[in-house]
Amino acid sequence: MNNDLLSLRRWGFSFMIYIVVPAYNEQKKIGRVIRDLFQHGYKNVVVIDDGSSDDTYVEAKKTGVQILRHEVNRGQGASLQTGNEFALKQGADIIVHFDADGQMSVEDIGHAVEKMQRENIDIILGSRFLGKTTGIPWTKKNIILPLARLFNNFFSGLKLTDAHNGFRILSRHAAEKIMITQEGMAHNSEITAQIKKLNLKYAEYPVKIVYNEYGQGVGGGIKIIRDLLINKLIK
Amino acid sequence: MILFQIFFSLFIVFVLIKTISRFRSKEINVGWLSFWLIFWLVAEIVVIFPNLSVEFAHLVGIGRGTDLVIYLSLTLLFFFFFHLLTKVEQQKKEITKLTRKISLMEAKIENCKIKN
Repeated sequence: MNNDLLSLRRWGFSFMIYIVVPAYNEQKKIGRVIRDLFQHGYKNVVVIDDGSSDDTYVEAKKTGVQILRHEVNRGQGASLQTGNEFALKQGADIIVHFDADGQMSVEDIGHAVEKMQRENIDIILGSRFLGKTTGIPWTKKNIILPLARLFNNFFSGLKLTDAHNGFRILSRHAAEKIMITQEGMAHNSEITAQIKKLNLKYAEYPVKIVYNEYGQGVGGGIKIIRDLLINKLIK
Repeated sequence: MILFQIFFSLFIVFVLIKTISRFRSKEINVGWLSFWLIFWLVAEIVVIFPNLSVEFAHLVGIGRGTDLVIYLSLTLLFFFFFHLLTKVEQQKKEITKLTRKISLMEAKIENCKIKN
């Protein structure tokens, strides 16, 4: 993170924190998630409606939040890249990636940002395995996620406790340097690979994820591996 | 064998007519027209004169003419499939670029409207 910004803060200048919320068919949850963010004082929020076929856009619009809309569904990776570019254009100093499904806790944002500024970190990656998350489905916890960790470490060379977590905080520097080209779920591994390549200072942070739905299963995992392999071959 | 040669030849005539008409209606260009004409003519020759494939196979050290045809066909197919895959991935990225640009532009327009 830029040292100038740190000293700016000491002089009383405030950081612009931008929350990027990629959303696909979350008409039931998006309203609550956005209002929750607003209530916690985060005014700069942008929702990326990734070509939802339901009323995600309408429901989000009711909250008055800024929305970008992908005309066709491109995937979460593409949505996050769109959100990053938008937030950077608005002058964001810190960009937060936050899920639209209501599984993440807004409280985690503030503490993670504090850690980021205190320790001069470029990118914070959320982790379910540092204590705060309970109730992870058995197959996920003992089979799918360990396998995901293995593949992530293979593809990116970074040793993370949680290879596939949508909670992310990027400094402006990190957001400018990182380019998400993987459109689907494989963007998680792509980001960690770029962290290694760009030598960014990173840290994991314990986050609370509430499990109401299963999320990515084995089929999803296979798709991710396929995308990463295709990308390696094509490059 | 003779029955197959008749059916196949009829099929080739049909395909050649289709290919030429596609060229006339500008759906394919000269390059592709030439490629497919040569491709189907070679296929027709191989079917009408099966001994040719046998001789060719012996030339390159393969036992049966049919085997050679299969090896060559599979190789060509895999190559084209991989080529197509690459093109599809490229197109996906291009579509995303456009989708992103549209979303940013629409947001700009909306925000301008709100300001005025």
